Amino acid sequence: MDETFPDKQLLVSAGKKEDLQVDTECASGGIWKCKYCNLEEYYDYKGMKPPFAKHLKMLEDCYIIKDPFSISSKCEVLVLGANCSICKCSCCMECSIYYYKRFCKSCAIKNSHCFPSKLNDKIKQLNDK
Amino acid sequence: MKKHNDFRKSHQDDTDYFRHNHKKNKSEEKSRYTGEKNYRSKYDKKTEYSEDRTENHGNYTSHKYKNHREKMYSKHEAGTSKEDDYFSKRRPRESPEDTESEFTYTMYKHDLNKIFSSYPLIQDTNEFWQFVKKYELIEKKKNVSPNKTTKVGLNSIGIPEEYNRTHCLNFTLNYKDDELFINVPESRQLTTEKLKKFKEIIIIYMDFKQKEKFQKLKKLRNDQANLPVAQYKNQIVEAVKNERVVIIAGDTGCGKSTQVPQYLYQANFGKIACTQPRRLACIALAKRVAYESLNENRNEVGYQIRFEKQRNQDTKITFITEGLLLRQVSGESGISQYDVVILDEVHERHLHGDFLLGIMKCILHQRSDIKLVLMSATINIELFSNYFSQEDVKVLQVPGRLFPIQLIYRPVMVVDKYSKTERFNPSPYIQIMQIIDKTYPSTEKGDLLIFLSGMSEITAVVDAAKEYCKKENNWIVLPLHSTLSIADQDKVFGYAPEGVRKCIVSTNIAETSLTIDGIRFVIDSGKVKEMSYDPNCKMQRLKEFWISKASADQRKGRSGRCGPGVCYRLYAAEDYSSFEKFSTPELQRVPLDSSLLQMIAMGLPDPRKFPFIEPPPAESIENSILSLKEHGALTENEKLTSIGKTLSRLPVDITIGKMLIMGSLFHQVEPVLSLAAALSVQTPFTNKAYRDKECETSRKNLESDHGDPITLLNAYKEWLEVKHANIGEVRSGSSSSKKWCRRRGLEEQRFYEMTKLRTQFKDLLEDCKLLQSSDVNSEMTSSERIMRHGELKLLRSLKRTYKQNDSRKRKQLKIDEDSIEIEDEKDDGIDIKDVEFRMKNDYSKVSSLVTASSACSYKDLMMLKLILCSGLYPQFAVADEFNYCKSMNEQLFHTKVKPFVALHPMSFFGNHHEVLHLAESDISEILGFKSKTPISAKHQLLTYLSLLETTKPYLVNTLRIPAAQTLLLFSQEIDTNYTFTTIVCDSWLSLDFPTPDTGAILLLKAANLRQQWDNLLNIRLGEKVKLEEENIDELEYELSKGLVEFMHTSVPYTIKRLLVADLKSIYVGCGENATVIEPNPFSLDFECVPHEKKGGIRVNKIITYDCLIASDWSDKVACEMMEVEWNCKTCDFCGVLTTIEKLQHISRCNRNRKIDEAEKKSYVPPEKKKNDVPYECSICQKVLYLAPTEILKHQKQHSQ
Ligand SMILES: [Zn+2]
Ligand SMILES: [Zn+2]
Repeated sequence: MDETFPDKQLLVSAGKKEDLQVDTECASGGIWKCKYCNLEEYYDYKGMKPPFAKHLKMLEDCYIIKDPFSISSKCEVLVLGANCSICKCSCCMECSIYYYKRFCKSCAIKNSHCFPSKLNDKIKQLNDK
Repeated sequence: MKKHNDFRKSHQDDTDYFRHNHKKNKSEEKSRYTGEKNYRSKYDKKTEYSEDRTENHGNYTSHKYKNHREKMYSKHEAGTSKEDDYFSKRRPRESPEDTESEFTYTMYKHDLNKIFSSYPLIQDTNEFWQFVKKYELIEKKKNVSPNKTTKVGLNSIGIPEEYNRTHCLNFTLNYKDDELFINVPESRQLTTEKLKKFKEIIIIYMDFKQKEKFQKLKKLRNDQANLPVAQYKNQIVEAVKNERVVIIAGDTGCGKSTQVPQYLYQANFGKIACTQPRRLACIALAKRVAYESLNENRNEVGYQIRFEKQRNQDTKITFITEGLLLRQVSGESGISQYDVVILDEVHERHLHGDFLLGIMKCILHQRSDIKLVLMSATINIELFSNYFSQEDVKVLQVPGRLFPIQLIYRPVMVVDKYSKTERFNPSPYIQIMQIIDKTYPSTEKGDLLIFLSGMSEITAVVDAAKEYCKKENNWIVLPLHSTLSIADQDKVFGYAPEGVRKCIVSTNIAETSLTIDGIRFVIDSGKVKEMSYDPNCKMQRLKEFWISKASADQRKGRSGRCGPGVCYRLYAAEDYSSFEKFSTPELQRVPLDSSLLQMIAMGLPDPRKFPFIEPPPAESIENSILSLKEHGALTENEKLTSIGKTLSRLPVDITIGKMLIMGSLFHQVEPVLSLAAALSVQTPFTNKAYRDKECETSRKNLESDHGDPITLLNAYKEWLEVKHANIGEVRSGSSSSKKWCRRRGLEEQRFYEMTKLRTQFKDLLEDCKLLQSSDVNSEMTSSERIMRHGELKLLRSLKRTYKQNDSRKRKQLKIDEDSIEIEDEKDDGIDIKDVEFRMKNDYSKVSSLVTASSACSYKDLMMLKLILCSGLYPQFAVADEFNYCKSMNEQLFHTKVKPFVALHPMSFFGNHHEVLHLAESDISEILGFKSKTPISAKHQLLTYLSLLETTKPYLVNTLRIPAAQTLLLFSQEIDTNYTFTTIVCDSWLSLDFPTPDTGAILLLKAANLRQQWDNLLNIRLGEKVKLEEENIDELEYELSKGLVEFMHTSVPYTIKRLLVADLKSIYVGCGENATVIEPNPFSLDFECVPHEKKGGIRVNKIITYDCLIASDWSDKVACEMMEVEWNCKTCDFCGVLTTIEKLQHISRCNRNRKIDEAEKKSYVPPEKKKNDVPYECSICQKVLYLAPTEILKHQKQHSQ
């Protein structure tokens, strides 16, 4: 890992800190809960462009927190879950499947015939969790 | 290797591209002792804070970089194209023809890494490249022809009908390709196609990491929910809402320590303090709770311990040591900063914990809004609930998780206990290891924990156990005790390889303090070595005791935490039934001086009335009060003095605190700070330093023949010098100071502690206004500042590397459990202690530390010794009169209350007792004076830091001091005869000064110096009106000059220890010799009063004149005096005077001289201020020193 990296950053952006809050305002913060496993967490941001991880672009609206496990100074995220594209319920990463869109556990099972056959096993597994 | 398999296997089910590793263990988690690779599951089970040892996430410094980086990336915002576009762009187009078979991305690792140094995509590049390798391998094996993408429509639920694995990814990178690869050098092989493909690999890897992280979160939440305490969450929250005091009783492993603070935090109880008896537990719990509440990068969970603070205004949960909370509560900050106070592990009954209980009980009456939660093991709950019965108290019991334990009593015969050499016999322990080996197949996992009483027993068993398993190699033997370094302590949490058991040989530290998982067997010796305290002679005793029933049960319980266990007790069931129910609380076996002083300073009028949960012996309190009076912390009426007030603020022993205060009076404070710090930590000298020949030779030059404290200071100074000389070595890994310490048998950790403690002392003295704050950095030149900036940058990056490697190392252990290896495991060789030291101390700081820690010139050393004595008094010892003809081991000393004490074998004088003997040339003869003890000007005493009894009572940390001078300066009671030829100090030591007037003059000097010293002290502590700084300086200069001169006075005398019987026959008794001395040469303003017991007359608070029965010699001296004329050295007086008349004359002469001197000086107005200017007033015909405005005022005066 390049150790000089953070310092370089420091020089580039020295003195400008405040202006990042702007776009987070609309979708930041709250309690989120998975409908299926009851996982309940505070999320930092909901949406597609997490302001604290500009290198990522989500392809769906996600509930995101700053990576709580990361010890380095890198801006990593942890995606908790998203809303089901069919029933709109909120579901975590494990109680749902993503294929082009988010499908919660029960919607995925209900519509399993519509998924490519390669995903069959994975959909079946959703039930075991 | 296994990792490869895992990647491959994952890939076989294609859709789940890289299945998470952690999953396959599910089945193993159930069986404990049967499975082959099941040890992971054991450790995976949630325990209170064992996880801290496998994952380290604490990084509080990383925070600040985030904002900067976020800013940096904001410019990329516009960098994404539309989804369709995106997919078509990254569609791989390469055909087999244009793929050169040799091509791998790894070949371009260096070039491609440029991406990661510009964009924060991947944390662990090594892991990523391994991933790439596996990925390529699998792709090749599969021989995939890349997804042919034919345009297909979306189906009924709106997804593309044809499968494409990229659709499984719910995110992409926010960069255009050319942007992402801008820093990658162009090359023939790295075509646009290849780069696009590479981008895809990055995304797949990131997705894999996302899933890994999410599973980690889920597992964490599941583990939390599975803790026994989790079922009581609502009950606990409700109870705390409704009651003032809640007691939560649950055994270790129920999760109360980690969960309860979180429950209360989630229920919005405001600021929460949670105490721990141990520092390490504070740090570990704070880390754990921060981790569990996903709070590591914020400050809502913090800790505060003696040397470290990790909290700020945002901190909601603070883990704090009992001692520190006690300080906060009794200090200015008070308890008001907290809404809930949780006292954890109250059953351990530590000193500060017990005091906190009492204080909290008082506070509950004062503050209606504060909540108190007590958490304890299920030991003696009634005691606590009864104690709070008048407050609203609710008791909640949380059952622990305990498996059945087979209990086997195997008493050791007395003959077996110690082998012939009187050494501890380890064979009963080895026999049980044999039994375990025979009875339980090695495929059945489970480690062994042995409880022993002390270090030497541990060493004996560890050695024997290592010998025993030499052949089979089926045991890993690990000692565990509090003096081990943290790194060594951590080893007990590591995992033993297949078929190997850990054998942890521990003191009672593993009873409740440390929780080690995977223990199946416990051997309990039934013994504990505990410090007890004799308040009469202030002696600590390290003695072996039988443990209590509560302890025995705790020890047993350790074997049943993870599955059914076996506990071997090396004592009989009858022994067990004779054990005490509970262990003796610390309060009953330690000195209470500091704690009581703190309570008094807090406003407790009578320490005897403190609401102790179980009061200590009354004797112990009385002795402490007496001792506080001796130190001048309390007045005779038990009111706090100004020195007492200051002492109560210093978190150290009274003796050390007093040293610091006295040190700050003189310009001597720097070495005193170092010395006080050195005396407050465990000694860095290990056994090896004294036993190993090589160590002994190399540490020789550190020794000071003045004694251990100076030797200690020398060692610290030299260590600093090594640090100083090698300031540039930062990168070289193992630091030279480490080697320096190893060669001399020194424990380097202690020096780091000294440095930290020293800083803390300095801050405290500045806080107490005893020291002016100094800012070293301001003295740096700009080039130095730049250098330092660069150095700090390097140090910070080293620290970061260390943390990353550290966490990876631990993670690797975790992966190890999954039988997955990550190669490239090498020691980073970073000495983190060194790095931290250098971050805090730059070159100039170390350099000033070196100077500050030297006791170089003789004058300084004498002052240093005096300051030490002022703290240590009455801890003085006198040599036995027959020492001169005895061997090293037979050297004996006597303190006032404890006769016959030995020199510690690991001390300077313990090895060089001859330094303390009088040389033939130092002994003088005086005609006609008969004495059993020699006459000399060179008698010495020892002052010592502590008395410790192990096999016999020892003096610890001794320093030699001139006897008569020191006694006259510090004794609280000094009695004399008519001619001052005999002076008795503290009814303990009798000094005979055969030469006429010598004793008298020495005593008069001492009395004057003591008065000056008191005076200076009172000024500095703000008792008296503040003088101008220069006048204080002058006072100080004069005093220290006087003291040093005094200490070097050469007067021949004898020294004799008085026995109780002697005391009955030396005093003239009440009413005798009660003639008032007028004027009083010892103190002008002290009104002489007869002494009500001894007779004679008290001439100041300490000295009683003419209360000793005159000896023949004294009578002879008195007669001769009437025949000899005396010349005053100051004036030209000449005449026949008695001794007391001479003293009266001398003190009058001195006073006159001082007045003269003062008059000579008086042309400089005493009230000169900074901006005053000389002003010659023509009317007054004087030079006045006035401020410009005052000059105007002065002129106005004349014009009126
Ligand atoms: Zn879920
Ligand atoms: Zn749904």
